[in-house]
Amino acid sequence: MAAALRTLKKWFSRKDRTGPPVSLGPPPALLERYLQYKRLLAANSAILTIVADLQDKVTGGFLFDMHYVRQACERLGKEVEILVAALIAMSGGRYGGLEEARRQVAQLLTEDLAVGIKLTPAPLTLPLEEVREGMFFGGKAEKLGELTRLGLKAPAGFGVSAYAQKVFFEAAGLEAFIRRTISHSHIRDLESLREGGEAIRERIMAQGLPDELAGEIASRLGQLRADRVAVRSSALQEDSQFSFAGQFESVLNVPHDQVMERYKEVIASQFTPRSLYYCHTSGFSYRELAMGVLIIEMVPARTAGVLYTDDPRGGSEAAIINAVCGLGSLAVGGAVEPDIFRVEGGRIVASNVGEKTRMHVPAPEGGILDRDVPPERQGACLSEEQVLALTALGRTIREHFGVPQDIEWALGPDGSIYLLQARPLRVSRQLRLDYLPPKIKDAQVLLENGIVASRGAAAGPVHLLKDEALQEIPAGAVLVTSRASPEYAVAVNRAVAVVCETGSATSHLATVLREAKVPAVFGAKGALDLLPAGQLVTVDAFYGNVYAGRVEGLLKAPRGGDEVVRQSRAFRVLERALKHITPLHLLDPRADSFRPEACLTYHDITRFAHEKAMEELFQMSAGRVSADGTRTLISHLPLELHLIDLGGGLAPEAADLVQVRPEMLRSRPMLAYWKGVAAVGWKGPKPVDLAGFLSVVMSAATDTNVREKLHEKNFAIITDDYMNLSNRLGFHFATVEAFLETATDSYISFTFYGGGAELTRRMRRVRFLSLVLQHLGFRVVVKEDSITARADGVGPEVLEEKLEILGRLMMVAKQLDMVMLTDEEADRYYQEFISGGYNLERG
Amino acid sequence: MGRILAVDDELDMLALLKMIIEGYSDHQVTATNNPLEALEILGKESFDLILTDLKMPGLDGMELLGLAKQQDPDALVMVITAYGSLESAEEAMAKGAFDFITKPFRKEQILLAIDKAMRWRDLVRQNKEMKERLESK
Repeated sequence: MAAALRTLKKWFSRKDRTGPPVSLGPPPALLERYLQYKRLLAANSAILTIVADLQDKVTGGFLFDMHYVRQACERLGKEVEILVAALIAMSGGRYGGLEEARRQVAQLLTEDLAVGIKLTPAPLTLPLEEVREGMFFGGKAEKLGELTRLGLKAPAGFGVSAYAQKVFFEAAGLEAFIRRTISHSHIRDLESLREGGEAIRERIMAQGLPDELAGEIASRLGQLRADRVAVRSSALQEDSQFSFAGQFESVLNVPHDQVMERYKEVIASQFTPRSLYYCHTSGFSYRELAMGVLIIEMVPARTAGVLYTDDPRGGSEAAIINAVCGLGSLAVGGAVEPDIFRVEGGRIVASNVGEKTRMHVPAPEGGILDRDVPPERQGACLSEEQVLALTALGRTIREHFGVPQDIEWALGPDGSIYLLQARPLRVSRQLRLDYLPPKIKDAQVLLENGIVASRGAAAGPVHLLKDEALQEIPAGAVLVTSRASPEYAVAVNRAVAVVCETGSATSHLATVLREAKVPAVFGAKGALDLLPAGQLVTVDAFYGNVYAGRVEGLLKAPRGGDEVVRQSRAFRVLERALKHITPLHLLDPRADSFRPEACLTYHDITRFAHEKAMEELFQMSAGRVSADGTRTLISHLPLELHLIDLGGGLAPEAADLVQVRPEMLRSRPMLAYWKGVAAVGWKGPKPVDLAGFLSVVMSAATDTNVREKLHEKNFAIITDDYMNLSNRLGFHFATVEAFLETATDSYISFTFYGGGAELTRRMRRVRFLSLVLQHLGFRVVVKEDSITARADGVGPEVLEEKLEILGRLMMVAKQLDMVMLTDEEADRYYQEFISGGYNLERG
Repeated sequence: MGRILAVDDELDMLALLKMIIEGYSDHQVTATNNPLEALEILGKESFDLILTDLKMPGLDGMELLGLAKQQDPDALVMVITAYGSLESAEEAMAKGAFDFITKPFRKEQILLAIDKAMRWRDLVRQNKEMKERLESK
């Protein structure tokens, strides 16, 4: 005992022998770490903003192009790069695995963005019935292949893949020629683009097909029964088809021996001034200019035409058929007036027999003949029976594909119907601008003015989240929480909507909710009090309100978006790219899976980096800090507090001072904390009972950890918006860290451990502290006699108030464990502290 | 029903514009990704509205606007600008563009803007006719 007392005396009488600081400037290593943190925060915020914007574009019915998608993803990639570099710099090179994860995600994204279609080796040709999606045969061939497999009648034939075109171009050295020609043509001169296109077409026509391809085409032709075929382009991309379609899109009635030439003609027809202009600006690529070609038996049609399974002008349900005599090449284009039939409810409700003066027929030598319609073929060219049969066929196809269809058909010499092509029919709709009112009439508003974190509306019973018991959230509930923790992501699929009292649209949770399409309102102040548990409510995440009961008008509101937009390439690419961006797999920072290797998306990386960066920043005070840059805070209180200012934490006049006074503090969190400390003031150590004192001595003398810590100074690293304060209060060690910046990024974290008294007494103080912290809205984790607590998501003003109370709490808590004889006493102190204006009378 | 010439070097935007406008209104859209060709088309046909992207290689929207106005001082031109380039939109307005719209936009935005332009077009025509009638009296 005597020895222990001697040791204790020695520690207590230890003088700080450190001389005046060598330099008053901030220590470079600490400063660097802090600056990296700020860099990381800026990147974090930029990332979440870009992600929110991208999600909004996908769900909000926007029209956007690939340029937008590429640019946004590029900006995003750069910010993630900055974020990861900052974390690695902060941590002294740890987390190198995160850079690896970032590279992998970036690589996947590059693949998604750079090639809408990645032309990989595929069969050069395939019989129609074997042509499927994803084999680079183009939409027309794929569709006809599917119809054939459905058992519907289409001409026999085969597809030549876009990959075959690549093989042809490569074998003939056409790629280099095309690139050269394009770069030599003048982008501001239409004539030069025309000439360039002409040169490319000539060169293509002059080359022979590679033996392998020519052999396959010949052998497929040999298997066809008809001696004439139709050669048709089958583009990979609808929009390039729409823009670049050449004049030789279809060549009809081709004798077998001319097929190779016609094939080349169709391929060559792509090189129009338009496509050359495009290639000039984007570089020649198979993404835009790769074409499948469809070769099918020629149907020497008696009658042919187009069938719309629906009325393209919208409105009533009707099928519309256009028909001409002979081949279908005259059915569109307006050269002849076709017969028009309108079928509703299984009967023809209107028909108009066109004056069909001309017709196309197959020419004996190949190609088509344009000739007069003979007198015996005047009148309607379809019987009622045929019209109804066509309509029924259309219905079958429409049902199969699920959307209205635009179908090309031909009536063979035997009277049977052949399908030549089917594609989605665009049905125009009346633009409905039935905007929702910001406030629904006759509905009781329970809450308003929230932030829309994820658009939509949903109704369900309120479930108030308490004690983070995520497993207790019932399915179909409207989840109401105090904060927007990313950890709630595990439960989002059980909730129909989420209401948070705090949080912003660019938080991790908002990103996850948008991804899951769960409507959410954040920043809904007072939601936990205003929304009674169990009550049925409707969350209006269009305007940020919550209504009592079910508001049907809201629930029926359109989700935004449009089928045409959803079918566009930019939309599909973005939707695919978002799979590498938005999902969050790293939900729980305490889990073993919270590792760089588990980061599969930019969101994972961002969350991981942010979490670890906060840890790294917190650790700033853990290392032994050299005397460099430290000054002493002198006040009326007998507290020795050393300050390290990394920038903006002290008034300019303190620049050269070794000793500074509280009025020179400029650090926002430090000022708030100090306000609390000064308000309570110094009341001297509590009277200690003998057992308590002995407990301190014994414990201190045997706990080496405590002994080491006793040597540490109380010091605070500060900046204008940051404070990291390591405090020795009596026999305890507390770290108060606070960052006061934006509402999303601001936080206070608090740790408390050690203590001079024996464990049960120490635990009483911990009990007291944790009760107060919980009362203040901190999330508190207690392990034996240590506490970790955190407050965030409420904005810097509220955190400032909490910091002040924390300052008071630290002052009154000094040595409380020595006087807390019973558990009841801890509770009594707690009551007194919170009801006595955050002070203790007996202090 | 009106005739619209849409010019945008981004093929997918061009396709979207055509489909959205024709799908939700009675207007007919002629589309080209090549502003030079647009100029050629303008020389042969007349349009009620020209819808053009501003940033295009070779001949940008601003030039196209100027040339279209040269051909027909009454030409109604709506420019499409990328997000964050408000200055160029203002410049276009100063050079006689009727309106501008910023990419990305919602379909409602573009359709309403077109609607507004078409109504303006009608008013201008009526006004012209009335003036001519008054002057001939």
